[in-house]
Amino acid sequence: MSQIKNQKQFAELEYCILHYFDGKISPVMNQVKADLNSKQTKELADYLKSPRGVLASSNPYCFDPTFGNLKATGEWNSKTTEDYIKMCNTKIQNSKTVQNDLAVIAEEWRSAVVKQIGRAKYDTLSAKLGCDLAYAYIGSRMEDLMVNKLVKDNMPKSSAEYIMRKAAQNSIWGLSNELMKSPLTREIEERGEKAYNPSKVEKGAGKVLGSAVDAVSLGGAGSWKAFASFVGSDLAINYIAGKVAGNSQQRKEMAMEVCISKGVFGSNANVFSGFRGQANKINASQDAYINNVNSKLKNKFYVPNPKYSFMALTKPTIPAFQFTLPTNKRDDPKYKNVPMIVAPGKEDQYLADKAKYDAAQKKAAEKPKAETTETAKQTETEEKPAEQTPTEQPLQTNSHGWMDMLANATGLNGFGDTFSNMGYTLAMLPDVLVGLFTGKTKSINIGNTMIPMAAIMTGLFVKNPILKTLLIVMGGANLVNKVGHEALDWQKQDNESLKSSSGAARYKAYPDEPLNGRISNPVLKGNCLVATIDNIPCTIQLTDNVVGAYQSGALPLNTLANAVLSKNDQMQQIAGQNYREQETETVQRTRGIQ
Amino acid sequence: MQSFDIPRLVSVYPDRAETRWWTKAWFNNREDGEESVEITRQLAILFIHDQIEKDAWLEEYYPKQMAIYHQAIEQTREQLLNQLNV
Repeated sequence: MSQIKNQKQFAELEYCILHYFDGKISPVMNQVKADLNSKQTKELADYLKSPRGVLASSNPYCFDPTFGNLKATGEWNSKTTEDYIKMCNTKIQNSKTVQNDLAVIAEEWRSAVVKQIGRAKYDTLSAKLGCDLAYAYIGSRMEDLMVNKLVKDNMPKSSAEYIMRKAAQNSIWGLSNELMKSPLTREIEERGEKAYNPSKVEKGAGKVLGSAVDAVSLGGAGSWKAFASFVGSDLAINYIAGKVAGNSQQRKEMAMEVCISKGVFGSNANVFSGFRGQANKINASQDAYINNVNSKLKNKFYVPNPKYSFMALTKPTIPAFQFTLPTNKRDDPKYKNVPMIVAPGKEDQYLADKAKYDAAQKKAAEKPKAETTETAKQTETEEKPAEQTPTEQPLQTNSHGWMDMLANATGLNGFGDTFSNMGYTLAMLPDVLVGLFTGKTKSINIGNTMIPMAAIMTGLFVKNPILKTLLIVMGGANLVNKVGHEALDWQKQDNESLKSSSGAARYKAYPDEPLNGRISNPVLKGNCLVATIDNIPCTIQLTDNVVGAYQSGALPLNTLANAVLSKNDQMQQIAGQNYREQETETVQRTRGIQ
Repeated sequence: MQSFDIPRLVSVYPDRAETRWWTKAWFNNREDGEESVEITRQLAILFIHDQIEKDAWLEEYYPKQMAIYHQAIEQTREQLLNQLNV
């Protein structure tokens, strides 16, 4: 295995190829695409405005939303991917500077390879390939990058191969047909090895490079087959023969790279991946070779300067601006159980309410216990004399035995509750399902859903239609019942929490006042206060907050009615004042006119 | 605030010699109004000077109409509350 003599130079050339493509070729493709899109849009707009388009859109029976006619006959809307590639080719073909730049990069690559393997071997390899190796490599590489870009731009994967085939047929780099078959001449190769002479290279660059690419592209992987056989790369042959996984484009790319790796660098592995990895780490602004190549190009690619790169990328650990974040109250272990939904600053209130609620719950739980113990004691004392006189023991009737057993076995106990609240159950179904993941749903778990799920699954595979229906319906009803009970439990909990939290905790409590003498018979129904004020019966619409405060008991009705009256008086006073002001203004104005 | 009161107008007027005085009322915007009731000159002056409240005056001289008025208001109120209940 020969050693790679100038690995750095190859990495630098890979850097140049990639950046030239990104900077110069890629925008051309984008420009063509944008141009095509704008023309298509304009054509569509013109079609819609035309009498034919208007008639087509106005007739509901003949309206074609896909504008099939336009797609078939329109100049721009009939363009296919193939036409798009053609347009890109034409654009690149017309750009002499791009052709020239590609030739410059190819020459640099050739000189690097010649340094590695010598002139004679290079010629032999080129002869086996049927064209110049450097041009073939640069052309194929650009072609790969172009196809990769198309694939990246959401081009369907299946059409990538199609594009590739069409691109190869139509000559990506836009060469005239007469030159497609011509191999590289010795003269041009020699010229390429010499120092770059723009005037001479410029003349034939486009044609030369194109012919090389076309020769390889037209042959597809076949040209590389002869090359691979010559250099003895089994792996490359495998790629060409399609024995390795991947689409034809990937295989072709790999075949080329493996062939060159073996033929030029004597390596059985793909050395280009190493070059590209190294290229990514190059500090291009400090690299003399890259800057030298860039200076030779007509269209120079952008070399980023790390000095002016983004702060966030270069120094992620040191913040650019020091912010003093406000201390979070929730960090205190005291508030660790406060849920995030509680508004900041209300933590203490929440904890106080929660303590009250818990105490009420505890008391409620203890009450029945105490009652049962008391009743147990009473019954004991009552039963004591009864023991002395033997009496008839209550008989255990098992009247609900079968029902309970069946209900428990099928999971349909309490199905009546679910059935009578079917609407609510179905409405809450998504919440309960989400609750399975968030942990809110507590009564449904793998343990108790195993049997209904198994019933449904069995039902799916059972052939007997009666048994199938029975299993699926029973399993489904069981699950719905569980969901219904969970949803009803939530509702119950909500109601209890609402009842237990006193109104005073949520609303400011107002003292009860004696009713103003001007008001009589105040009644609050819904959001409406009906009262007689100053002997005038009237209705007053109240806001939800006020009604809520009244309903929670924080705001007595008399106080509310008095407040409404005082507010009304205040408004009347303001209106009266405004009237007087307007009146004086009018008087002054009339006097002024006089 | 929205009122559902029944309009009621009341007025006092004398004869040409200003010796005899009457009061007249109009309920629910009826054009012909209620029958006039003779009152004393003193009461008329008090009424003109806003010394007597309108409803108290009407209760005194038009008790039947005022009873109907109260019934109508109460009925409206009940209807309103029933509507709000629904």
